[in-house]
Amino acid sequence: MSPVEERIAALWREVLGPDLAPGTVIGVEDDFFTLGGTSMQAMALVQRLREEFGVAVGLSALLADATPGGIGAAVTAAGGALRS
Amino acid sequence: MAELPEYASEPPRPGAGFDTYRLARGGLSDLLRPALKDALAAAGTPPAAVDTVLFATESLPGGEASQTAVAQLLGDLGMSHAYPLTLGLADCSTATAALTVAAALVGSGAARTVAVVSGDLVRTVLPGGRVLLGGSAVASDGAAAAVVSARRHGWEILGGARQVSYDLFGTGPAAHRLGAQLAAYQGLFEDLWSATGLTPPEVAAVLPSNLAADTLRLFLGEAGFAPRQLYQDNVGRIAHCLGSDPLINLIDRTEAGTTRDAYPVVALLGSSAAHLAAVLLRAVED
Repeated sequence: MSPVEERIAALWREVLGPDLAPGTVIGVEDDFFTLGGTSMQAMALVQRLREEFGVAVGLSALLADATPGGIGAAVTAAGGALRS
Repeated sequence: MAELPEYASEPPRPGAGFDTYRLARGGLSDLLRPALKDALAAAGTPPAAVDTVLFATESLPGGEASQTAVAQLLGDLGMSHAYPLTLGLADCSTATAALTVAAALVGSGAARTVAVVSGDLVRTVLPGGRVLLGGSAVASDGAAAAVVSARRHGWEILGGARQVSYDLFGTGPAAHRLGAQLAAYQGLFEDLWSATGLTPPEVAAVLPSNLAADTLRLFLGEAGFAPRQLYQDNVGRIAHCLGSDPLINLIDRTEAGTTRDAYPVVALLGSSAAHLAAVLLRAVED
C-alpha cells in the first residue's frame, strides 16, 4: 500500500470501529461496504477524508470504487496529500 | 437532546448540528391555526377568498373526526366555504410538493386561491421515537402555511420537481441504498433545472428539510451546491419539523434580515428517506 492508501485504511478502522471484526487486515482491494460499512459510516468516512486530505472526495467517488486503492486514486486525482 | 433514549449515553455527533427539538403541548389544530392565520395575514388575503385548502399532514384523526376537526379549524379562521383536501404518502416532502399542486390548480383555473398548510405532531405520526433515518434527523412538532394565487406577491413559483426511490424502503445493501439516495438528489435537481432553465449557481439559498447538516451537505454538494448556499441555521434551533421545514426556513431566512433582493431565487427542498420534492421560488418585487 502507498502511504495515502495506508492512511485511508486507518480511517476505515476509525470509522468502522468495533464493527470491524477483530484481526481484520485491510487490503488495497478490500471493499468498504463488504467489510460492513453502513450508509452513515460511509458518510462519516467521506467527511474524514476531506479533513485528512484537504480535498472534496464525494460520495459518488466512494460508491464508484470503495477500496483503499480506488479512494486513494480519487484523493490523488483531486490533489489531496497526506498532512505532514 | 440528552433525554432522548438514542442520545442518553452519547450525544449526537457535532457535525449533525442537532441541539433543540420542539414539543407541542396542544393538538394539531393548535399548530395549524396560527400558521394559516399568519400566512393569510402575510399575503393580505381575506380568509373568505380562499376556495381550496390543501392539508399536508398525516396527523389528522381518522374518519369523521378529521372532518369535524377541519370544519372547526376552517370555521374559526373564516374559511368555512374553502374546499379541504389532504395530501400525504410522501412523508416530509409532501408539503413542498403541495405547493406545486396548488400552483397547478391556480394555473389551470381549477382554483383561484389555495392555502397550503403543513403540520404534524410527532407523537401521532412517529410513535416509535424522534430520532429518524438512522440518526440523520430529530423530529419536532411544527407547522407552516402558504397562500398560492395568481396575484404577484411575495414569491413566484418558477417550477418544481419530485423524486421517489422505492429502493430506499426497507433494508438493503448499504452501497445500493446510498447510491439510490444520491441518484434521487441528483435526479431531483436535474429535473428542476430542466423545468426552470436555471442552474445551481443562480440559486442564492437552498432551504431544505432540517436533516443532519453534514449529511445534507454531502448529498447537495453532489447536486451542485456549495455549503454557503445551504440554509441550515434551523437544524439546531428547531430540528426537523417534518414537512414544514422548508416553509419555516423560508420565513425565518426572510425575517433574519437579509433582504429578498439579495437572494431573488431560492429552492425549497423537502426530504424524507424515499421521497424528495423541490420548488424554485423567485422574489416578486414589492
